[in-house]
This record gives sequence, C-alpha cells and structure tokens, in this order.
Amino acid sequence: MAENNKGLMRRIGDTLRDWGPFRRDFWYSPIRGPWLTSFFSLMLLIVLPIVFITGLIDHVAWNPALGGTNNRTPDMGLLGFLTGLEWPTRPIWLYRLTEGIHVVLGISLIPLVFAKLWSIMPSLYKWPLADSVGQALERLSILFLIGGILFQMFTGLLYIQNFVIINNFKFNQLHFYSNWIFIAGLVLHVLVKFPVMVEGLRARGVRNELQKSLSETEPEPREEGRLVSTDPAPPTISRRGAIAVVAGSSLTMFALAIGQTLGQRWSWLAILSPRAQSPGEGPNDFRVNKTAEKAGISPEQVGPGWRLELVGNTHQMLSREDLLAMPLYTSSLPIACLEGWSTGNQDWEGIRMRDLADLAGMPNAEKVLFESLESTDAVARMAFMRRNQFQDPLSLLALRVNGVDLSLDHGYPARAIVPATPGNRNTKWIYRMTFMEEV
Amino acid sequence: MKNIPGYGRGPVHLLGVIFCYILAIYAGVKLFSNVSLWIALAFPAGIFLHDFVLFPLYSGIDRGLKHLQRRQQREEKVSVGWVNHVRVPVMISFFLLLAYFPIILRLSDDRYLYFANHRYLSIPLASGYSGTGSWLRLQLLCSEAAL
Repeated sequence: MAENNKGLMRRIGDTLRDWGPFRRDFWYSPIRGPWLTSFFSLMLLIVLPIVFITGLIDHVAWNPALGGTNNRTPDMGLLGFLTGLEWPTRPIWLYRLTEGIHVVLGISLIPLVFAKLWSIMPSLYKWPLADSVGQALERLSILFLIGGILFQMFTGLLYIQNFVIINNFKFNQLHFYSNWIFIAGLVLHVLVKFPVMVEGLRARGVRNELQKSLSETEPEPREEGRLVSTDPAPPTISRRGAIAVVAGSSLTMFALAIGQTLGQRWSWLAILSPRAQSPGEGPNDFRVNKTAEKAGISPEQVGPGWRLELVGNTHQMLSREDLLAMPLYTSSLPIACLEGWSTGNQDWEGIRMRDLADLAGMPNAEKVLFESLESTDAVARMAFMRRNQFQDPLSLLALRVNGVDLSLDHGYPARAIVPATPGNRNTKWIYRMTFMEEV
Repeated sequence: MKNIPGYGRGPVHLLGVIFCYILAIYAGVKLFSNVSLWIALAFPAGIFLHDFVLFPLYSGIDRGLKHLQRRQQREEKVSVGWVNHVRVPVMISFFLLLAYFPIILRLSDDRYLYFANHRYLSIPLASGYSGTGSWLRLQLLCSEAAL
C-alpha cells in the first residue's frame, strides 16, 4: 500500500516536472538570471525600508495612545509597541514629508515589485517543491512576502482612490496587520537570500553589466537555481535596457504622484491623483479630502445659531463673534493628508488653542477632544490631541484662512490646525472642545 | 554552517523561520479577527488570474511581436528592432492603469462629488458617464512619456 502511494507520488511528480511552467525549457528569456534578480532586489532593499518606516511614522503621528479614533487598530497587542510615543509638532512640515514619502515612494515602487516578480517567476515553478523541511517552510513563507506586498500596494491604492476600501478604520486594519505579515516574510527572505544577492551581483559586477549593449548581452551561465533558461531565445533587450524600462516606469509613477505633495504650483502634474480638484475660489482654493457636502454638513448647523461648546472646569457657549473678539493669531501651516497629498503653507487665523485651554480653566490639561458636526465619517467626527500639540504657540482654532473666512469645505465656522499633525486629526466643523486632565 | 539533521538547513535559518512564522501568524490572527477571511482568497485568485490567464496572454503576444520583428529583419523590411517601441509604452500604460484604474474607470465612491471639480477628469454630468475622455488622456500621456 505504502509502496503504491510512493509510486503514485513519483508518477505525479514526474508528470508535473514535464508539464508547462515546471519544464525548464518553458522559460526562454535570455536576461533572466541571478544578476538581474539581485539588481532588482538591491533596489527594493533600499526603497522598502523607507516606505516601511514612514508607514510606522504615520501610525505614531496619530498618537494612538490617546484612544478614541486616534487608535485605528485598537487590539494590536504586541504590535502596538510604538503606541506610547509622543508625536512632535516641529518641524511643521514633518508629517507632510513623511507621509508624502510613504505614499509617493510606495506608488513608485510598483513597477519594481512587478519586475522582481517577473524575474523570479521560473523559480516559483519547481518540482519537487523543497528538498527538506527547512526549505519547505522557507518557500511557504514566500506567500507572506508576495501576498503581503501586493496586499499592501492594493489596499493603499484603493484607499487613496476611495474605491471599495473607503472606511479609514477598515483600511488601517488591512494595511497595518498585513504589513507585519509582509515584514515577517521579508526578514526571513533577506536572512536567507542576502548572501545570494551579493554573490549574484559580484559574479558579473554591477558597472560591468550596466555597460553591456544589446549585442553584448548573453545569457548567464547555468546556476544552481532555476532562473537561467536552458533554452534561451536571442536577446531583444539588454539588461540595462530592461532596468531602464523599469526605472522609467517608476519615474513616471513618481512624477504623477509627487505633484500632489508640492503645493498648488505643481498640482498640474498630478493628473491621475484623486484629489486634484480645486474646492474653492481665491484664498480658499487649496485641496480638501472631504467637501462639506460629502461630510453631510447642513447650512443650519453652521448658520448664526452655531456655537462652540468649550468644556473644561467651566462650560461655555461661544458664538463666532465671541471668538473673533478674542486675540487672533496667524500661523502659516500646511495641510497634509494620510492619503499622501499636501498643500503648501496657508495663513490660518484664529485663537490659540492654549488660550482656549486657559479660558476653559484647564491650563494643565493633558489632552483635548475635538468633536465635529460631520456625520458621514466616524473617524473624523472626533479627534484627540496631546498637550504638546495644543500648547504649541502655532496651534489654532482657525476661523479664517489667507485673509478671508474659512470656506464651508475647509471647515467653517471653525477648525483645528496644528503643526505636523495628520490632516484628518485637524478636525473641521468643530462644535465642541473638551479639555481633559488625563491622557 | 552545519545543517540540522531532519531540518536540512542551519540553526540561523531555523531561528529566522521561527521568528517569521510567529510574527506572521500573530499578525494574521489580528488581521482576520478584524476582516473577513474571504479577503485572503484574493491571493490565490490573483495567482490564477496572472499565471494562467494574463501571463500566457502577454507572453504569447510578446512572442508574436518578436517573431514578426525577426521576419521583417530577415526580409530586410526593417533594419532596427522596433519591438521595444511597443513594449515600453504598453508597459507604462499598464502600470498606470493597474495603479489608477478606479479613477480612470470612474469606479470611485461618490465620484461625482470628487470629480465634478477635478481639473483634468471632469466631464459634464448631464451627458452621463463616459470613461473615454480619461482613457484618451491616459493614452496620450503614455505616448508622450514613450517619446
């Protein structure tokens, strides 16, 4: 019986080995081989950590320890090891930079990821699948790696385009947890393959190979792995040509994505960016994530009857006139969204948040809660900020921008604006501010 | 380094595997206790779609183009290869479409609110939905990029 089973397995194995992509002569590209794969790997190894770290920075920038909707992954357990960190307010462009890098680089590396996958495709079709338990586990972990990176890319892309994944909470759970699955696969992969990569590049040299034209391009010598074709076709592109195509594709993605982070002057470049629209006229003509219409703001809510409820040791109802009668300050600050886009500095005018803390009788408050009139997005309806954020002299409850009243889309009658803080936390259409003693 | 008997790789490899699986399973449990396990099906579906539908399609087309180029070169109709002049713009267009298909095909949520004022993609709402405009723009953009 066992004998029979063994025979059957061998027969299946023999059949598979000679079938389609499992056949070595099925693959014919003359430029596939350890050198090209190692080159793409090296590029990814440089870029991926930057995208990873700037992603973690976004996690910290929301101050998840404050709870509420600041923590979009409430049961992250041990993966929340960065949660307690306090996010700074300087430099004022900090979040604009880190989140811009995260999204723009993340989009730009798509062609590189696919090039790498193309270059290793023959090695995914290998029979027998592994020679030992160790190799079997290692090969299985490739699922975490490839599945993880594709999942990361598509959750990000779909989210910034408001397609399928439109809920901020759901998005963060998908993007945050699957990131760790990817990192698990990546750590093992780098541990095992780093020496292979170095060897692959060394064998032919980087500069040496990049100097070869199409006529000088020849297949690599047979290797232990399965990347090199046993039956290569004549080359139609040099290795450096293939690299240039990938780099050109990445640069195209980069050029189209970077336009949304450089302010109004460059927004013509962001042809395919989701928020290339202009929501207002004149001084209010800079980007928003969400219009008042989308947020479900009705005119009565923000008419003369609007009051700011200021809660602390005292409880006050302040009209817009009351607020405008207080000392007003101007801060020049950008808006930077989780989606990667940002605006240049805008001149916001309003009341210092620290003055409001004093007015509420809570100069020693540790955090503040903003509540918004908006009704369609549960995450943006409330936001917490830490003491270092609302005590910053540049942090305002803004009433005006660039010399005019805020437009409805920019959060009229009043919105929060705090340096280096994610746009989503800078609550618009505020109706209540509550200062609290404990974090 | 010496291989561990019955495992087939060295001790550093084993440590890496243990770390990898603990982290991946921990994060996986968190992920799938928050979102439906069905999402994981996207992965095998993606493999199948690529390896057995898209891959035969594009490698077949590529092979066809190369044969055509070789024949034309043999018959001395063309002196230089042109196949990369097709491959490159197609590839760049493909990446752009892959990344931005919800916007290009106008599948995004609340697209009218978002795109009514979009600088480049706006279309008169009264005339109804038509994706042709942005398709053309995308193609134009890609040909420019290719040039």
